[in-house]
Amino acid sequence: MEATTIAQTQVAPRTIRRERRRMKTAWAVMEALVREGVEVIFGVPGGASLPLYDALYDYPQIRHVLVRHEQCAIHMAEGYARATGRPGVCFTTSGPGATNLVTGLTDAMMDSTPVVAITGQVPTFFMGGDAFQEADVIGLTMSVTKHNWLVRTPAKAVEAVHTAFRLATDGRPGPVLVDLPRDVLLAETEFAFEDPQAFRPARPRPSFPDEEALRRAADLIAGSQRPILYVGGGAIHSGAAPEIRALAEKARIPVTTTLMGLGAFPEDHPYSLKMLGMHGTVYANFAINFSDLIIAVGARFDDRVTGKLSAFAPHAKVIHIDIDPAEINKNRKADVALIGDAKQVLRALLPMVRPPDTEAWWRQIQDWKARYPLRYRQGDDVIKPQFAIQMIYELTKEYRPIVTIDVGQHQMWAAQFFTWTEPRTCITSGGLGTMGFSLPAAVGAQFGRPDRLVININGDGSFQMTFQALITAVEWRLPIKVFIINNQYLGMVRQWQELFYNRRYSAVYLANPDFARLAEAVGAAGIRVERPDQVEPAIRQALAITDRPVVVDILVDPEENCFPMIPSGMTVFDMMVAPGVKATP
Amino acid sequence: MPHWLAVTIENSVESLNRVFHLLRRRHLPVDTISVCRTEDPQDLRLLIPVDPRQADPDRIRANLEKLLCVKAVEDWGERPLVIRDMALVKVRAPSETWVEIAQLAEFYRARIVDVGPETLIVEVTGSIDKVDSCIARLQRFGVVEVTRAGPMAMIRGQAEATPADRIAEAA
Repeated sequence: MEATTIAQTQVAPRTIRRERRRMKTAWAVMEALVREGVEVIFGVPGGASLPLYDALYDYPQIRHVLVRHEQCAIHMAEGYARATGRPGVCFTTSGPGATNLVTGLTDAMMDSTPVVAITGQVPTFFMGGDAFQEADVIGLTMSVTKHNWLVRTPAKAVEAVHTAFRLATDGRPGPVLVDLPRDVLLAETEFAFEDPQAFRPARPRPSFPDEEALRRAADLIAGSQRPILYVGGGAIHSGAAPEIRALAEKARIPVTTTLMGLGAFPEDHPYSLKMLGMHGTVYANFAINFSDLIIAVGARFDDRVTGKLSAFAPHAKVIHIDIDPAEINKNRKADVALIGDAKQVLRALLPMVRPPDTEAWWRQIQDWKARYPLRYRQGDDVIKPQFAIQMIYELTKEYRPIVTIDVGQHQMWAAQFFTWTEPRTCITSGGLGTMGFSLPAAVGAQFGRPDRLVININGDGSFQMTFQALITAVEWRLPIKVFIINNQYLGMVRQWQELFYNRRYSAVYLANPDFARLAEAVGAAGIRVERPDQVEPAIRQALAITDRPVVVDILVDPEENCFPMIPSGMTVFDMMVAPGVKATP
Repeated sequence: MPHWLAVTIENSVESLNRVFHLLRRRHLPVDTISVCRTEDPQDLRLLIPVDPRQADPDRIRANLEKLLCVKAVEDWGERPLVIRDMALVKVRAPSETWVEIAQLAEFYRARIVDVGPETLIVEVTGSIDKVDSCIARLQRFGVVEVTRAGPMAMIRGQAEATPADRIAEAA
């Protein structure tokens, strides 16, 4: 791939000097961001944040990406963070600017994404009086941030920014917010700058698993007959992919991942069972439900994984590895809880592991794999969405793309028909299911990884929720490839209405614009695909365009359903492989 | 028997907001919280009774410990405690009932702290059961209003103070 206009050597945190300097708070905040190594900020200015933007003018080393809606700013920050592992940063003004962040903060909270949101606030002497563009941002975002700070005095500003960065990435990552009133931003005082690492907040460090707990875990593994590794997003945050592979190979244990865990274990490995859960593979769901030992690594037994919790994997003991003690026993009781960073815990556990005999278990799994592969049938006339997604995968895999995926049927098909092999290459809204996440996330990912091909797989419904991110992508000449899997429906909702609401299609038909012409109108390239034989040439054409974004609108079978499917709140014995057809173990 | 959690937090309305917000958001089955001052004016101590049949005290603790304003969470589950509640009870009291109310108050080691034209205010302290019982006995006179501080508690015998900043120490 050609280098893009944003290609830039990574900004290293500036050499840390302890110093005292007199300046306005807004400039001190920018100094603190530079010391944190921030290279890009996504945002929109406004009245209350004018001083911040005035200061930004003096810091050309930090690029500011102007978005057309604040929701795009925070999803870009999320995409940046998910692609790089470093916190994403966004700026908004007070009131509506800040409230437009709420969805993205919630998304980041659910998916444990490190994001630092910096919001302007009305001056302190107006606060509480319903001033113009005032909103109680601290109250509004309290439950969707790890912590938030209202900076009432200049002296606290630098501390708040540095503490925010530490908290965003320490332990279980997540979003934080710093609210800066305009008068505080304009106040001038002497600031003391120190090593940003010195601002780590005092937090309880759960004691690392002791020898005894690790030994019990090793004993459970050695004594198991039907073990399975169940790997979630925590494994990606932790960088535990090599250790997971080592454990799987040493003990011959099959591995399934959640949506958030895709890429934590290579799916081209013979031990991979691909994704589990509501639309997971039949063999992954049978395997976990008939297992006698679940080794959960950075996963939280979410309802999209377990279905009916009381009937989930009834014969399995559980080893739960998680950095967040509040996850232990939340949904599923753990027989052994190993609290700590997944990579460190697995490193400590690995030498103690003795391989169990899994011969019979593997014969059973191979039988399920042979009987229930993922499948679809592509004819000559209508494009099957699975075919389009598989073609995108086949034609782009040599580039090792970073893929952002939106929410809905296309999300599940992409999870199923890509072969995920590398951490941080699958970026999607898992916990919150935020439609509109993926296009801005692709922009953020491309800023974080200018060296990589970034692909966005979107739905026609979700594309229209944050379409304006495309304008920003054009402005920065980002060569993002946007593929719209266009079924002219809110497809997943339509599928549920078909299957569970007696085909009463209520408010799911989308009267869409011509997306290719829409793309052309904002300066991106647009390609429309209507027949199966056009899919491959269109993808190749898109890959050849490297000076601007490309939108490929792929019209697919409007009523294709996503299978396998375990209906909400049901069990593996209700798993459908086609309408009215259940899988049998 | 409830399982008592003693939670030391920074003394501010914002901190209280954060704790209450978290308990509500996680739908943790907590139906009463006492907010007490301590020997340190910078701190507040929250006493939260948890019914272990309804909620895992460890999960509540793990959630609370994520808050930056929380300085220590002590699980007093099995410890011997002194627990004291206090109530002010305003009773409708024409003068002919004064003697009877005074005798009842005496029985509960309660005090009459205000005498109005038509009412008395009874101050009662003691175990939660005792305060409950006293209020119940006063009902027949006609209780106008009750205000109750909520339980305060302390571990019996222990010579050291309850750790107020365990988290900072551990970090």
